[in-house]
Amino acid sequence: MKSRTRVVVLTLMPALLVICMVAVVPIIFQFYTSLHSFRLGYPWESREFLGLDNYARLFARPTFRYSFWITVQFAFGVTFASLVVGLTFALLLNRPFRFKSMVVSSVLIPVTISPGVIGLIWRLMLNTEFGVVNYFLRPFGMDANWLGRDLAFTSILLVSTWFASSFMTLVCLAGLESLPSEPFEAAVVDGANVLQRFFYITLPLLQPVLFVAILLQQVATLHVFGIIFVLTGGGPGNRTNVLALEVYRQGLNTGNMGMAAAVAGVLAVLALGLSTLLISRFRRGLR
Amino acid sequence: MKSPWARRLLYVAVRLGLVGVFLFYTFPLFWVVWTSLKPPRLAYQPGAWVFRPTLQGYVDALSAHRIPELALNSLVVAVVTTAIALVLGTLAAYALVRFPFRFRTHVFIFFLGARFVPPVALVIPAFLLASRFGIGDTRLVLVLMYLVLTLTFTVLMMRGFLQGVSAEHEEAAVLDGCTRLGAFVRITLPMLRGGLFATAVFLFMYAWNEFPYALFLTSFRARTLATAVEYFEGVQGVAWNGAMAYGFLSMLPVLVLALLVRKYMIQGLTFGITRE
Repeated sequence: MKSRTRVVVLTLMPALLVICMVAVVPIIFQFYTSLHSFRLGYPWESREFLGLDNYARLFARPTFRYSFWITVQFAFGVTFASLVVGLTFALLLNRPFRFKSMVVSSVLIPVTISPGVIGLIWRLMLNTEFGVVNYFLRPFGMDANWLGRDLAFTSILLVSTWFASSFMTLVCLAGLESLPSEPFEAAVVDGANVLQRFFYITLPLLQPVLFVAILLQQVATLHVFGIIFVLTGGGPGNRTNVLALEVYRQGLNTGNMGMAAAVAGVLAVLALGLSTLLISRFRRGLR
Repeated sequence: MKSPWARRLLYVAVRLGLVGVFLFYTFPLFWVVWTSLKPPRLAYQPGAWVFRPTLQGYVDALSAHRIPELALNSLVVAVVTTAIALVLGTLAAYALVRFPFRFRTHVFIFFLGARFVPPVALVIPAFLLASRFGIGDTRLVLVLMYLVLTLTFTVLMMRGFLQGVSAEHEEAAVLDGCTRLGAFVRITLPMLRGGLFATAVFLFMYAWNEFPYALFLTSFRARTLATAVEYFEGVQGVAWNGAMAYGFLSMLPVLVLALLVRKYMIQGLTFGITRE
């Protein structure tokens, strides 16, 4: 074997083997399990082959279709909201000012906290009776039952946006800082106002950055589990039961592993659809 | 030209906006610390602004739920994951950057793709396989599953950093009789210190904070600090001062690390997006 080939094999193989073992094998096994009826606590040999029955049964259930639908809403909602918040914050931060490093540091806070703890913090802050959010809103007559039926979905959206906007702000800020200054100077000379500069120069120049950030955020939002698990547990009832939580309910609560694997399969396909879009875009950038 | 008044107004609006940004992110953190220092009874009274701070919450959190033991699990898992991912990922990135072999793009896309599998989708097979091989509820199974994300992330990051370092010195060392890998380790690796460090911070942070895998795959022995959240739900609801003390303790190591190496953190978060 040529020495170059040997080096490639030696350096590449360990990582490839590990990924095959911890990602590829489980994915195949996940699909296999989703084609069977298998309950937790029974011997593995007791499984029965069902074909695509699990999937058919899932989509026949109104509760599952509801979970699917709110997962899509959640993914788009969080992505859009965090984009608006992130872009606004980045535009504010994109200038020299005195405590800049302190404010930029504060943006990092959400990404350093474990999802479960984020859920815990907001469960305290959003509590109807003793939550600090209602404490501040009460004088304005706006206190609300944040984790109740009507607002629970809004609440997981808000909290996830708090988390996601951190990433979006930092990405947009990095994007803004890398923009060339000439077009802006020329626009000022030509008398363009702030809004014109934003819509005709900043936004078009920032577009490639935003595109990748949006797709990354879409996929990341489908991964959100811990925040919702602790904040609402998917409730009240089914109200915030996104697909990631449905996997937990099917798998560890009811012990129906075949069904849980099928839900996970649907979630994976959803994520795959979005990431294929991302990767095809990325690939063009590679050439 | 704008009137001085409009200019003044815009200036004030921007300053207020910046204060808003700061409060938006820091207030929840402030509330965690604030609540954790309250006596248990006052933890249910957001309006109690004056009180004698007590460390009772921290004493409760540390003594009640095996917190030190869970923290040790988190630390071991995070350190081992970071080390393995850093070594294997950097080697793979080296092959991807320095050698234009066939299928190179395919291998890269493969690594990239593995990042986008939702953890919750892998959790059911991981659970079944782990119990089959007798490694359920161990630190080992956590390290293995954490490698999905950390290893692919390392390949992605280090590939970028390696592309920024020329191969000249390495080639010269090979001509002088050094082996390929020897030249890489001795010449190129020291030049990548910053990148390696930035990546390591990220890997550690991910492993320390990871939630779904730890929740599904461990029950008692290998429980991590991040998934101790459940333990604070008592029969009479959550003991909030203790719960917030736990929350603060669990985020403290990573928060300090993140603020110390802020530049690297931001670089890691935005990497590959603003460059390509």
